[in-house]
Amino acid sequence: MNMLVMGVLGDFSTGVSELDDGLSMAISLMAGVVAFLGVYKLVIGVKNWSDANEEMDQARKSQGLNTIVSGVIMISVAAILAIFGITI
Amino acid sequence: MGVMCSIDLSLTGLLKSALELWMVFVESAWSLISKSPSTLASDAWILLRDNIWVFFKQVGSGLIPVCFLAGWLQESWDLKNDFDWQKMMLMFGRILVIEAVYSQTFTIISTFLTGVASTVSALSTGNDGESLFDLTTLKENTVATLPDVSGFSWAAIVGWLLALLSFIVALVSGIMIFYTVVARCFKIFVLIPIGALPLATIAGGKNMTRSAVAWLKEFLICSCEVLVIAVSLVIGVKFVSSGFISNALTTSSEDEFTQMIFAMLSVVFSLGIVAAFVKQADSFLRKVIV
Repeated sequence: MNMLVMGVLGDFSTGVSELDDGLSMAISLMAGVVAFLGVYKLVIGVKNWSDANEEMDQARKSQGLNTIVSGVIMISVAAILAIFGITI
Repeated sequence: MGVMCSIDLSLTGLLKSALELWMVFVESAWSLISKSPSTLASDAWILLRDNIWVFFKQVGSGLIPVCFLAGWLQESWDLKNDFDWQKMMLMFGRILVIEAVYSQTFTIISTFLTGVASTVSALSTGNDGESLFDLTTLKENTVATLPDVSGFSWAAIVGWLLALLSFIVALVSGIMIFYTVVARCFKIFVLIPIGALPLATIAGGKNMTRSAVAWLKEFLICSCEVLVIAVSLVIGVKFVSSGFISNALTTSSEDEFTQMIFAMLSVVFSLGIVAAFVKQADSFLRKVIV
């Protein structure tokens, strides 16, 4: 799967440096914003989980855990895309 | 199969020449629509496949992560929105599918176009294996409806002028049919590489796929337009040669002049209607494929 993916997207180059630079900048910028939102989600998730843990509310605890997992995925979106062969 | 085209300036000769000219264009158009773009202009197709498509695919490959992240941001920007890890997994799954399909896009497009050309060939073959596109009796059947107006008279002069008008109409309508078919071929050659860019937006999710859907719709219309043109030509030639319109435009008058006018008008209408419908094949399909 990785070889198939690398064959498509790998280290792309359009041959036009302005395009390559522009696309790389756009990807880096958006990945940074997604990671930032991921940090926010992680913090909120941890807070919700700890509040639910104090109140012994299982439903809110699992909701908080979902938010924590979502936040971690968003923070590591660059790493996940790298697995797919998209280098940022 | 060739159709000889010679211009005879007598009344009947002018009408026969008009029909011959129309048949030349229609036959040329027919030979184009039953071929796929790769066999039609193989050099241009190779240039498209090995150079132009490769460049646009590279740009599209760079756009895929951009569109993916843009779609992600659209979903996650509203922090009150329930964008949980399950939806994130779906988005990752989507980008994997897009990546796998994107590499095969040109092959899929090429196969589809070949299939459409084969469908046209199958469409034009009757159940007994004979070609449904038959121009052989067109000229004889159409000229047979023309009354014999000979000698120098006002009727003959007006008849000659009407025959000249028929010649012009045949020339214009034949060129219109041929141009429509050639323009469609050229449009496909330009549409294919451009498609690499809107198809990349599928990675962004449902909010960003409008470009891809629009391109797919345009490509579908452009590809299938040839089917409508093929049906129009097969049926149109039968209409013209069967005297469908000349039967409707009959007159009870026994005056040769009146009969001649109606016969000429029926030729003009027949050729013009077929050309008009071929020209409208594109807009006809746009109404059908919403």
